[in-house]
Amino acid sequence: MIPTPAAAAATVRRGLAITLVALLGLAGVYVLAQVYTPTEVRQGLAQKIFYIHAPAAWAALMAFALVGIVSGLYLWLREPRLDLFAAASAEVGLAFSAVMLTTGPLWGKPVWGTWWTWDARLTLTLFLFFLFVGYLALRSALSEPAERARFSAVVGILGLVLVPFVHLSVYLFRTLHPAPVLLKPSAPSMPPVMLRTLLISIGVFTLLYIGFVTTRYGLAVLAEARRGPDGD
Amino acid sequence: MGIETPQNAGYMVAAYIVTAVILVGYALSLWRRARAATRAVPPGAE
Repeated sequence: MIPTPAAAAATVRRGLAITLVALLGLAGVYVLAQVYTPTEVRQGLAQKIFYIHAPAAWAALMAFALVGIVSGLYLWLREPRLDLFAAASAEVGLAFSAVMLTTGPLWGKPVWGTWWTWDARLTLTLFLFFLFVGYLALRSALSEPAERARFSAVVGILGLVLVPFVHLSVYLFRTLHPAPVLLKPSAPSMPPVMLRTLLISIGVFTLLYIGFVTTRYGLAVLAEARRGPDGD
Repeated sequence: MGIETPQNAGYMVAAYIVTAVILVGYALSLWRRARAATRAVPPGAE
């Protein structure tokens, strides 16, 4: 059931408030990374890209994984709000992917000596990005809501299948990309002061995801509520 | 002999600027869409 326009507008306002707090948090992460986190000796200042690249990757993969999970729930329950949430999460995931795919080469060039390499991790990540570009293109191409929700749910689930491969690709294939420092069976492999900055940044990016997705979802619900049950 | 730290601050500055542009830009696009969409819905209206 779609909420009233007033309830949807309240969701939008709540999302914008969370986004504002998260953007202030992002400014704090910038200060923390630049002023209070030491420079890595071998990589120089370029290593500090890590504090935005890895959290952006986390937020993007979380967003795409949620698209798949919620899409599966939609196919089961046929609740329109789940479809609207999946679409919101896909769009937000693309914003974080754009950060991941631009900061990655900016880190790779000074450290690896190349902007890009077609290895498993980078190629799969780019493929995931284009898969969700296709997801949004598919949604805009279909006008019948139930058909749009059903078809895009299938694409969303395909994206979810890809997410673990992106994470595990550094173990499954030979790649220039470093292995995870946090999400791995053993203890985190970095000094505590750097780990603190990384964890705070992950928290801020997660909050930013919540703010973005709440706002985007509220906007979708608002549009749906105004359209009415007959879709007019 | 110590390790010489590479001078590559430009890449870091570029990455931080790009991140801010993308995320603040997306936030602004949401804010503009929200302003247009919620203009007709006063708080508390049913």
